[in-house]
Amino acid sequence: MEIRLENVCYLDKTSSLQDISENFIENNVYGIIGPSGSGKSTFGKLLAGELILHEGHIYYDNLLIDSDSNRDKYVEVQKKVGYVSEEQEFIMPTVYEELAQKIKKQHYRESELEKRIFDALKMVGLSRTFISRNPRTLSTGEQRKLSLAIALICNPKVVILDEPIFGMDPFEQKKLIRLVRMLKMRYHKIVIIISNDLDFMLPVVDQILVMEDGKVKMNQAKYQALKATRKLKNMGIQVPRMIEFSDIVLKKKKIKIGYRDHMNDLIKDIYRYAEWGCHNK
Amino acid sequence: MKQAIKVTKLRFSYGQNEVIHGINFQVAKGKIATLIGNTGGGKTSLVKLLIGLEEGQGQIELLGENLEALSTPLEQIIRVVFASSYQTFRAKNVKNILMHPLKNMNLKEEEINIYLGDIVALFKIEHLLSKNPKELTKEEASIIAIATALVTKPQILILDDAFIHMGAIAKKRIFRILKQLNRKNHLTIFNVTHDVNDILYGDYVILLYQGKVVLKGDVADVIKSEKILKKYHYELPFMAELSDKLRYYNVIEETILDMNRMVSTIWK
Repeated sequence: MEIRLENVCYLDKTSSLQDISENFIENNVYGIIGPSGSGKSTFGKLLAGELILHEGHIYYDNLLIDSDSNRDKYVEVQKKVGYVSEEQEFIMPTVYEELAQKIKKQHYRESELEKRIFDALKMVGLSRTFISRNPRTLSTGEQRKLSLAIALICNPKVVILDEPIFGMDPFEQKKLIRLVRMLKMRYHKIVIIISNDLDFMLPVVDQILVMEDGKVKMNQAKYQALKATRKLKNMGIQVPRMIEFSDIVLKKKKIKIGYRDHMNDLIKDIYRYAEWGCHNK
Repeated sequence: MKQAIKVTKLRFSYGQNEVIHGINFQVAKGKIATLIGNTGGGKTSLVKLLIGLEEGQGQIELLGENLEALSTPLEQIIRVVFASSYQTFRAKNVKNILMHPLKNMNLKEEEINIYLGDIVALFKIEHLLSKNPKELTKEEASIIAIATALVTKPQILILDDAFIHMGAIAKKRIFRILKQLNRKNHLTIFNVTHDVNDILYGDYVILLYQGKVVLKGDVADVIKSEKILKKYHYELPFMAELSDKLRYYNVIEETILDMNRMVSTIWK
């Protein structure tokens, strides 16, 4: 699976996207970051077939969406893309019906339907006891997981997660990371995460896209993207604190420590350089 | 010391399902407390209980008075901002949103303008006043939500995930304003969050897990409780962990939470 965008433009009252040409390839996790109002969510919705394209082309393998595409085309896209919006609204009285509704067109037998629903719940880490709960009485984090289950129940090739960790505690964030890894490694999906939380994203993304004013300003492998920390910071994005720290060391002391995945490696660096500093006196 | 919030043997259930199991804690007046805890662990239920949106068993006192028998209107004592507060904006522009809570306070028009002017100057939101709420970015809308909660000058402010739509720069700026109100007007702040780094902005920490308070104490003590935090899947804030380890290796002598100070201490 590949998504290819050519000169995509979109405009409505509150948001605009200008001339976006990017590729998304299977087996990859993409992170989209950018300041509030930069068009991240609009971009996500457009990729998910939730908004009408005004200019340009989007190819989902051989399926082409352009300004002439009719409604059926968008329905096709929505089948390929599982989209978890930032503010999902639930309409059914129970979790079970909410999930069943999403696949009702497939006309599964009752036993098959049930199996699919339980599988989806298990995948996102909600227990079976949730099926009779009213979605609107779930906690924020549980609602996020339900949205994810709804997106995954159709087994889409592409999964788009808009701010997936809102309302999730650190333990659940880690579980979500494991799930995203599984979607990539085992199911070879394209996963697109829209978020401003680099700390959450870094362990799992391969590629980072930075958006500002409706444009994609940068699209690089994650470690390359991290080198531009100052730029990211000026956009109001919280860079991982380890990078922030290394930056201050570099600026004040001209000592290059760099990004480390583990705190212990950072300590070793500091210890070495601090001692070296002492010897030098 | 006077307690802004005092919760005693508080229990709460959704139907058969008890979500808060008899908790006790206090937040002293003029302090910034941070509440962290797991999803579905009762955080938002607790917030709703504190403002009387839900009713539980046990006792809640605000500024020494029982929640059910307050001598001042509730909204002048305590205001809450939820992550979704901005979705409830109904007025046609930001100015009207900000003025709305003042209308219930029997103020004269010039007084309303003073209250409004104060908050606009403090939050530097003059340029947003004539905007329709739909035109705001989520970051701007979240700032307006906090400003709206503070316009009536309440004594306690509860923030329930109120920063999730803000970038790092905006969040820092708003926290600076809140700290200023905390210092000058002794505003008590109760920040409910998932970001463990937030605890460094405050004085006091409460960890609520599965409806029980499993850890509470001053920030300086809590950041020494790495084991307990880890048990509940919380990491230490980055600077606290770094401090800890560098102290262990004798690179520094005392806990340092400020990055710049840390760098100049390591390389004297």
